[in-house]
Amino acid sequence: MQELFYDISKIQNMVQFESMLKAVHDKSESGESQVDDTAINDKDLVFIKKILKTAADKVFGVLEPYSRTVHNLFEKEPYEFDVTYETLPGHIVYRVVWPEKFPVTSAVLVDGAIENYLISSCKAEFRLKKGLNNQSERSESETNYSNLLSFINRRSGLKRTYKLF
Amino acid sequence: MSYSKAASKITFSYLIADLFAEVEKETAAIAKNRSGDNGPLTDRILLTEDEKPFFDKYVVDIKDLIFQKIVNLTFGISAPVTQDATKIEFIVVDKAGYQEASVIAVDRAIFKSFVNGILAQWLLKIELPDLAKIYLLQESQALIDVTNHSIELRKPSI
Repeated sequence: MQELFYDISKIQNMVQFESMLKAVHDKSESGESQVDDTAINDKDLVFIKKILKTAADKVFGVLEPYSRTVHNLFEKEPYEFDVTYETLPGHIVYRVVWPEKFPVTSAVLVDGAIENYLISSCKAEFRLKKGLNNQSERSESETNYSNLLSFINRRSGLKRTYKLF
Repeated sequence: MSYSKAASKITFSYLIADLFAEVEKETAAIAKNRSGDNGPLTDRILLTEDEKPFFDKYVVDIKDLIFQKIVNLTFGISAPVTQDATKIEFIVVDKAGYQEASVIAVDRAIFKSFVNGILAQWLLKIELPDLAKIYLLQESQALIDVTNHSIELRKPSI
């Protein structure tokens, strides 16, 4: 079994940080940054956590086929949101049992793709809810989701049992 | 004009006396170069102690304008703006994700907002609208600088 865990406050910080980077260049005619209108402020972090839950649920939808035996074999929940992982509070935890031919190195890619998807999905959803153009964030989110699916479906040692000619 | 840091907070502090001295100095410089039919306009232009009630009113107005620019940095702070007879303070959250230069830039921009804003209002009051326009523009720019430089202070440390 592999455990994948993500610090909710770290994801919130990354989402907020990236929104600030964008706000620096998003200026009015007078040259004033539109930071109050477009960036994620501290008061928005509660909302970010709410949309993060939705994104985390969607990730579990992808991982779920590999989590079905976790409960019976290890007596643990396959997916938990905002729990203490070991001693670390406020975490998202996924537990999976990878198939036999799933390459170990791909697990690292899956881990990164999940984090990237959670961050980009929050950015896209936040801008959508604020009525802002979220085309680039939506595109980034879809790419990350696509990457996640691609990495999860990788298998090693598969050989053709037929000839090409 | 100064700032201090303690307990995850940054306090920007401005002495009323410093603001008054700066405005007085500026009005003296303006008065020196302007004269009417009966000589220099010092008495009309120079902001002196007997006009302090006007000054106090302008300070309050501009303090509110500045606070609007940094209000989103004060989330969770119970008294983010304080004013007494000697000083005005703005308290913001210290998120530790900034360069020191940004704090200095915000500090200076707030000070400039006060000085230029007070001067603009005073010059309007004494009917020197052309000069007032210049200081109004400078006040606007200083307020924009408060917003733009304070973005660095809003960034969380990652």
